[in-house]
Amino acid sequence: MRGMQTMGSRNWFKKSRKAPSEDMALQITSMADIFTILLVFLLKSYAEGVVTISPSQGVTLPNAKGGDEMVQALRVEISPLAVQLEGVPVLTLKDFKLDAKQAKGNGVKELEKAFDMQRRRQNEIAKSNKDVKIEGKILVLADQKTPYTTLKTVLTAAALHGYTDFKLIVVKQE
Amino acid sequence: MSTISDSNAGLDFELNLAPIIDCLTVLITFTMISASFLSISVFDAGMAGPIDKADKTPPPPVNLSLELRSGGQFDIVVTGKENTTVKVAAINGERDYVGLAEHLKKLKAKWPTVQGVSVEADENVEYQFIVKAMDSARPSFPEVVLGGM
Repeated sequence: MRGMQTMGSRNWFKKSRKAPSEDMALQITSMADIFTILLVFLLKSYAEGVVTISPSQGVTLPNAKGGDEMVQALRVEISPLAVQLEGVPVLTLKDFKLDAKQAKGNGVKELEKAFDMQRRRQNEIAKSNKDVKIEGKILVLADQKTPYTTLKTVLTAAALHGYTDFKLIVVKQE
Repeated sequence: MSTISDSNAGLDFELNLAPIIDCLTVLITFTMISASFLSISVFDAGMAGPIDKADKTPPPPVNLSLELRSGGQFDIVVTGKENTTVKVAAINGERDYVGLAEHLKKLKAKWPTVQGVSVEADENVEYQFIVKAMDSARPSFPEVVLGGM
């Protein structure tokens, strides 16, 4: 009797003790929840920027607390090596500075020619499309270490061709 | 008699999450690559435009010019009904933006109708200091323009 009881308890023990499962079930439902939340957040930040501005490599924009909303306008970028107008290099610089030859010679003339071309292009577009208005706005993406003399040269050339509404692009400081 | 159980069996189905996870992964990768986490804004610093003849606004009593010197000093030049220069010295070689804001606040209290200030700098003054000065001037004088053009 005792032996039969022992046999029964051994069988019960074997039945209740299951072999551990080697396969781990992946909780895909939780992963889908996380991915959905991440996607909603990224889409929200993606949709907020109407105009996207990406400064060139090596250009560090200055910080400022104040600031207005981004607008669409002609873009001039000042980096340590060049001045670019709408992404096209128009003037070469050496560590933000113009050469003495460039300052007095053709360098500034090249810059003025580029602004003149942009102004003419805008006038032509305005002639053919009444919805387009001739504006004097210009977006300035200058590196924070740009000396005032270089900035002044570029902005003076812009102002001579009707671009007097300077919009300085800054990184908003929280 | 098994029709009710058959129709119930047709309504239940297992959602295959694997393709949904694939779509979400691709969308998240795309938006992360294209998202910009830098908050960029625009600082209005336009030059004064041509005087509109129809504009009957009286001219301001004084003209303010904020000049950034190479040594770290600010000069606030007041011309018009009052002719004076207020100097804001550097502190330990660093520009004193707090002192500048305080002086501008006092000037605003003295001349409340004046809205604008023009900013100029010495040749080698860096752009970041000019922007910071404009940022300090804005609370008192919202129409900050770049001068010397």
